[in-house]
Amino acid sequence: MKPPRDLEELYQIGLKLKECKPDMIPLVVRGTRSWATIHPSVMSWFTSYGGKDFEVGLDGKLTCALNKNPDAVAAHELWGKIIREIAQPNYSDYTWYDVANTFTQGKAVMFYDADIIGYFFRESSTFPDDWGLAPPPGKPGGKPTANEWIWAIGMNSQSKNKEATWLWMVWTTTKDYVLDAAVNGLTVDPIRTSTWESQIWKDHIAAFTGYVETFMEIQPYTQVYYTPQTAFFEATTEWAAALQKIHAGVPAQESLDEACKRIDESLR
Amino acid sequence: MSTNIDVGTIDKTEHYNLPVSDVPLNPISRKERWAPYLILGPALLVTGVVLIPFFISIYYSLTDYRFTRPDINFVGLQNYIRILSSKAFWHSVQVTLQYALIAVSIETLLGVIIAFLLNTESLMAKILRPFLLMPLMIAPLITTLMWRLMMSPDFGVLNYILSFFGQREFPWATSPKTAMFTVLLVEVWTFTPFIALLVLAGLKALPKEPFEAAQVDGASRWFTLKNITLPLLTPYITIAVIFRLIDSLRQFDIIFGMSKGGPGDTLMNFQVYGYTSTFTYGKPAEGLAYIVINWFIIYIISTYMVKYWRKVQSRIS
Repeated sequence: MKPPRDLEELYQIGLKLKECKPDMIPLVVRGTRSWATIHPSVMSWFTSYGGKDFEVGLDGKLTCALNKNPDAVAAHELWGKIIREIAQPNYSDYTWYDVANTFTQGKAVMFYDADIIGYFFRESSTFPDDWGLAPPPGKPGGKPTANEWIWAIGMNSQSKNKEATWLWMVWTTTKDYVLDAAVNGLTVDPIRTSTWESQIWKDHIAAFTGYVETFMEIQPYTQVYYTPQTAFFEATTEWAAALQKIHAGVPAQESLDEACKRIDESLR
Repeated sequence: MSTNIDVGTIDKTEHYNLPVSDVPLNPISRKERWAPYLILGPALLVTGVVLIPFFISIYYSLTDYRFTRPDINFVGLQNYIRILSSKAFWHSVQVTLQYALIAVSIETLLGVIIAFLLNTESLMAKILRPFLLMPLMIAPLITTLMWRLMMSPDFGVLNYILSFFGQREFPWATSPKTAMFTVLLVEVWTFTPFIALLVLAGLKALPKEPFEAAQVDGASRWFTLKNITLPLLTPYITIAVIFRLIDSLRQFDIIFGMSKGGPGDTLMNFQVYGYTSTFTYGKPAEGLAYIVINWFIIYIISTYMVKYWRKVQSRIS
């Protein structure tokens, strides 16, 4: 079995897995009515299909664009089919933890989620030995646009100990520290080129099938694809709610129109 | 002259020589003067503690307060107008009322039946009575998590049982078609004992005379139940219904614990909307407006119910 390159392949492989592995869930994904459902999988394939979460209207104000791109709307419809037919039956219950637990217990064949699942859970005795990573499936022939969910360190302008904070930030981003954290800690996806050039890191990560290849392939197309705006949590939660409706069989266009109406209201 | 005079030892004729301001007053009167304040003090304190957050909530609901903005501006009824003109609000009215009415109806019916069944001195009734309290001893959120585990398609015992009847993957709270049924199931399991206990207490407190008279007159069991037991029990049932109705109209734990208001918007009632607006969207002004509207609805319904309870009470007495 080859990892799917696009959503259509993902669906077809899922159907086959259902037949040949009836005791396993072909695919596990997040599905709760929460912003967290959107960023690993949905935002990645949505962007690959050319979708944008917001656009600037004629009046110069941001308006919701989830429902504007016909290809991206059709991708929602396909995603609805995927989560209905090959994903876990209790789709709307699943958080990151559930995805990670189900995969770790060996109950699911694939997950469409953040790569840290492999990092955090690989020590578990039930974690599959023969697992690997692949670029996120999106539009057929499209680019592997992985939405980046980044944890960062920062300093508040109101900080009373700016110098100490700054020195700490410098220390935690030094070449030595980043390499040490990547090799000996559980820091995933190191951000320094020097780490990627280090043989110690290369040897360490070699055990993760497909990790380096995937990283290199998606790196040019990986970024935070969200439009910066104040209603982030509201917009993404409404989007996740729209996906739950699509999962229940409501047409994608109708669900996204309704979500956009609410998101636009909240931006007013 | 000092006013610290022992009244008992005073020669009353001396009073006539005292200036009016120095005439000793009854020493009990000072205590009496403070007594109402001391008696009402704790009650006033409690009322104050309750009312301060309430009025602060009303104030914030009239502002544009958001967690992401440092400034707060008074916007009048703008939040209320926006909420009342949204489709989501009317959906939440429907969900809130549907949940409360169905839950209270089923709980009342089952609660009364259970109370009657346990109102005997049989061994079984004696054994079962303490178990009635069990669901009430568990926090509703924990109850919900327990039920969620039992409903899990992977290892849940409920789906295992249903598999014997050909139903392998009942969707429970993950489908809009069965989500309301699922949360009602948890609600009924948790709170039916509350009604049963109140009604059972009522049954134990009923006067014996009307039943003895009915027995002497040869009244049938059905006649006694319909014309004596149930009318006498109505105040107890009404009180139980008032408590449950208020609680169900502001339901949060079970719905949020089960599905966060989903799938989609299926279970978004007032409280879940209020919480989501406040803590997920960072818009406490809008969230509090939802909660204030929820309070107003509960206030109207409970006032009417209390009036009805008084009417029933006076009719019986």
